[in-house]
Amino acid sequence: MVYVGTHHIARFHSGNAIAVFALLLAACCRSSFALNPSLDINQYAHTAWTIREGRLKGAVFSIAQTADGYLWLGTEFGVVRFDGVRFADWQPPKDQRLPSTFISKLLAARDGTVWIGTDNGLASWNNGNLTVHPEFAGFRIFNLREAPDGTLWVGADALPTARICGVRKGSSECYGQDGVFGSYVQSLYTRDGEVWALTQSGLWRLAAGALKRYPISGAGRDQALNETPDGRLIVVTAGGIKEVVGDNLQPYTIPGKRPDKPVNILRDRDGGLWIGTAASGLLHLHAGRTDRFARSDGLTGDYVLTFFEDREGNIWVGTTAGLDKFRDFVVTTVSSKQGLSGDYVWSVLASRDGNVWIGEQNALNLWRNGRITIFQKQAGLPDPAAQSILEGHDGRLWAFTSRGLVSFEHGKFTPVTGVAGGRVHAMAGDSAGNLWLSEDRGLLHLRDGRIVEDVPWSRLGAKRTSLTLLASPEPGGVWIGSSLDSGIIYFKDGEIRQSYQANGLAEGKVGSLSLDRDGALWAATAGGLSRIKNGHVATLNSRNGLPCDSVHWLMVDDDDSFWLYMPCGLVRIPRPELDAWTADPKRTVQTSVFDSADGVRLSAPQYSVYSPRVSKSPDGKIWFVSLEGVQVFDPAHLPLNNLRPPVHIESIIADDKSYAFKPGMRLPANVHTLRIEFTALSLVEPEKIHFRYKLDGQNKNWHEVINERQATYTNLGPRNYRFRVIACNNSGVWNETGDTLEFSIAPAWNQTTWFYASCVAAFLAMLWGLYRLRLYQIRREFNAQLDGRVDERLRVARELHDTMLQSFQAALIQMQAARNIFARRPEKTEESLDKAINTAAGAIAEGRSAIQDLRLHPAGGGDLAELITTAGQELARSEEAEGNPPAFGVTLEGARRDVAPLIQDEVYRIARELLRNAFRHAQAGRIEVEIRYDSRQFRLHVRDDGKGIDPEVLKAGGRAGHYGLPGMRERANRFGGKLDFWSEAGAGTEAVLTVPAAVAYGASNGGALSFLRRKLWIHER
Amino acid sequence: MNAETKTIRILAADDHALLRQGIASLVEIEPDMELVAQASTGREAIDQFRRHRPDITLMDLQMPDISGIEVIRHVRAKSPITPIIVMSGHNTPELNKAAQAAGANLSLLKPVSIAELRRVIGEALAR
Repeated sequence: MVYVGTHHIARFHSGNAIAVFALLLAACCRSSFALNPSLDINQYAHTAWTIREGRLKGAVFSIAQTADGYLWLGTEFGVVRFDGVRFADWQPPKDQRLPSTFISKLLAARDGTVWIGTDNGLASWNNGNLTVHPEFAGFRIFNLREAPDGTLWVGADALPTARICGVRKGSSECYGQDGVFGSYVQSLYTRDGEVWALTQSGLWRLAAGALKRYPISGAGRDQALNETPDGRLIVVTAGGIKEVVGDNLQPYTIPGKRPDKPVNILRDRDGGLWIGTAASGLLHLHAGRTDRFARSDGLTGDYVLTFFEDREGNIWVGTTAGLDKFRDFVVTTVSSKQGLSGDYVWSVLASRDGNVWIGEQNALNLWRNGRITIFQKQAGLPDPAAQSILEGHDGRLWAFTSRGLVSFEHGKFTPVTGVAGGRVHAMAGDSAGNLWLSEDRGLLHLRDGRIVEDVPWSRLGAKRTSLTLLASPEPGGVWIGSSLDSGIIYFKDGEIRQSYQANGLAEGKVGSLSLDRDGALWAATAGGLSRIKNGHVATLNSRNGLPCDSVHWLMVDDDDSFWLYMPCGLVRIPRPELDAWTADPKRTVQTSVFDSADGVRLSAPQYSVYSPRVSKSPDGKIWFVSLEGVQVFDPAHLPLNNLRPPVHIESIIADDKSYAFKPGMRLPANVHTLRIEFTALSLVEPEKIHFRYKLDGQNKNWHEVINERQATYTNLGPRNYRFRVIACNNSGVWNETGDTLEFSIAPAWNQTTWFYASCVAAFLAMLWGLYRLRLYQIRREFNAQLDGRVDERLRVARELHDTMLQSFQAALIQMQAARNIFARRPEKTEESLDKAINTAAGAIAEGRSAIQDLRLHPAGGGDLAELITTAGQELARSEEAEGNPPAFGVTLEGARRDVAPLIQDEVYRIARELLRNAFRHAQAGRIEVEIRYDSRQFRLHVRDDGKGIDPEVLKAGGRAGHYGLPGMRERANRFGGKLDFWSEAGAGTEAVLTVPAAVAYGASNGGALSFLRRKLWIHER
Repeated sequence: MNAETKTIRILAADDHALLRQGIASLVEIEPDMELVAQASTGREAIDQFRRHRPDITLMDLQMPDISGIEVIRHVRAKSPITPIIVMSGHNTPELNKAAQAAGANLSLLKPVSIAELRRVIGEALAR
């Protein structure tokens, strides 16, 4: 296919640019896409959709095309709309119904109305409204015709009387109520203000309100009415073809066999006549010939029900078994169907006189003006299998067969003596009469009909015969291309004058050689296209723009563009591109590719081993050998489809539910999958349509696809969207306007502005709440610390009061007593004074302890074991003055862990007091402290082996007047700990402080809740 | 009070032993006073009062088991006229008021001197 346009479209290789090429192609191409009338039906591209395949449900009785480009098919199961790829049942709106689902005739009027004829009446569709015309109720409508003045002529069949009615501006005027037409109207035709009708009773003409009948033999259902290209009205019946001349019917002769059971006729825009039959497919009358195409040729069915020519020139045929489409190929095939001796063609030569010689394994064929003459033995050929062919400079034709060389001149084949038979793969000749033949054995050089040289290939450094020879413009020299590996030599006067092996030459066998006007030699090889000039070699391949690598042959057209036949298709390189590449071999060339869709018979290797395999005729057409005969194309008249394809967005489906189009369309929230279906109406090659689409609001760039007619999006957010789609046809002509769909997606409750605002508000509220909570925590912590300090002060005050103050009061009383006693009982005075001194000393010690406690730095930061060890050692030293202090030690159990600083401080103070009590009152020989770091709790043991505590005192919670034990318990409880005592008289005492891990170790243990608890001083028991 | 020798019989209730010893030392050299009982707890004070029926009860308000106020009420309930003198380490109006309401007659601020003790006892007995 050919891309034309101003947009770059990626093809299957890089390097295709459109802009320059578009202009060039537009200049050289036919301005419309229609069927070439000189071709047979079997030379057109044919596409078939059979009912059996399942895509089409029923027989197609009628075809129409609306202005939006859709094809409307009237079938036995209703109306079907076709965009070239998809068949879609068409239904009127819910509250409207067609008179019947059997659609017998469709017509798209110029005002946009679609007239729908059924087997039970007539309806019309316009602007979304269906109108059923009651005057035709019960009639079978098989004929509709729009006259130039806009009148719709309806052929309405009914028993016993058929009618012909003209419908105009809502009213109808009918003829035939008296039964003159019989029960059916077979065909209608309008021209020059007249209405012609083929009915059961004959041919009728209605003009100026008056009816005239033309008797016609063989009338029946097998008849059709139409106009020839030259304006003659013809009637095709089973009894023959007649033409209306004046008031008479005269025979009309067509070439070929008379059609069998003709039922309809189409005159195409190029003047071809198509006759559909009821039993043998269709006939195509063109260029003075008639050819057939039936089911055996690939037609869906032999009963042709209807014809239609669409706006792009495609011919549509509805049969009882399906739908067919015929369109032009870019490249035409001439085969045995056109009269060739066979399809296995070896060589083709277009001679200067306009003849095309085709060497085929059965004969030598001569094609001229569409006619083929076959030459075989009886024509003088020593062997019918014509291998290589050559036109000499003198115009003489040379042909080589397995039995030797012949020349053709003045209509006669003359064998050349002295040249043995065999195989000659290539021939070349120059202006001096030199003729070179590439045989299996070697190179044969003839001059004036005599062998001059017979050079074995080994002498030329070649292992095998050559498939390509090219005579040099300089007489006596010949270029020889290797058929095995890369290699080109120039041979002249018995010597190899130039040789190119590798050194930049593309690898692989040489398929053809061509001399450019600037003297450069071009070689088509299996590895690419090489250019040799002045000893320099440059090669073009897929790395610098070719769609693939292997080049079978190259040919320069009359426009100086290069055409390459490659496994991937026929490739055209405009001359400017080649010149630019020649100047800069690093540059990438821009090409266009024609493939099988364009009629090119792709071929991986070059099958023919004879030459020439390509030839250009004087009219500029290029002929080349293929596996299906000879193919030909006209570079100067390539078909161009310049009709911009209408683009339509067909549906929008959200989560498998389809939504009707309407302004301001709003889809529900939380759409998971959104699919937008669209199409473009170019029916020539719909599978080659390129689409570009973009969803504004979602896509940044246009997305391009080929033959994909839907776009799918997932999880679109709530907003307004605009979907745009454009398309180009098979010739690259873009419809830049395309189609647009605007819609919006509603927000879900969690997507609304209110929700977002609420989230923001909630977040701010949460921040505010966290702030307030933190303030509360800080305040509580502060208060707790304050309470702690207050408690501590109260405790100290209480301790001072209960201990030191009491002691001083007692000391004072003792001294007063000593004073009072002194005068009367002096012996008692010393005792009282001793008591007072001791009491005062004790008070000082207690005061010092209290002061020390007040001065104590919080023990939260240091190592607890070290702190307790230091405290014990101090107490031990203070007891040394009283005698033997007890032994003291601290042990650790479990892996050391960090205790929360505040907790550690409390634990230390309790431990210190316990130690103080033990050192002072236990009279112990050993005092031990054990610190246990368990995973579930922290424990502190203080043991001594002293005298023990009176059980009654323990039970009471402490000695009267002493608040140490209760005070410690209370202290422990305050932070969530527990202090227990065990003691037995004479067996020592053990105090155990237990703190839960969540409290002792802080946030690292117990999680956030415990952390919070601890932070908020929530007590745990 | 012993009618023949006219000695004032005193009960000292204080949880601090040294204070009781101090009082005992003070009273011991006074010919007209006798420390007939000591108590270190409130219950002991009630028990000693019941047993010895002293002429004067010296009562510390801060006792380990039941408060001195409760002891005063109990004693007053048993003996409406026996003088009760409160010994307190703090001269707080609230405590004084509570003690008076419970039935205490007078109060002394610790530490007590013999002169002060004698004065208050005399005043209590005179009432």
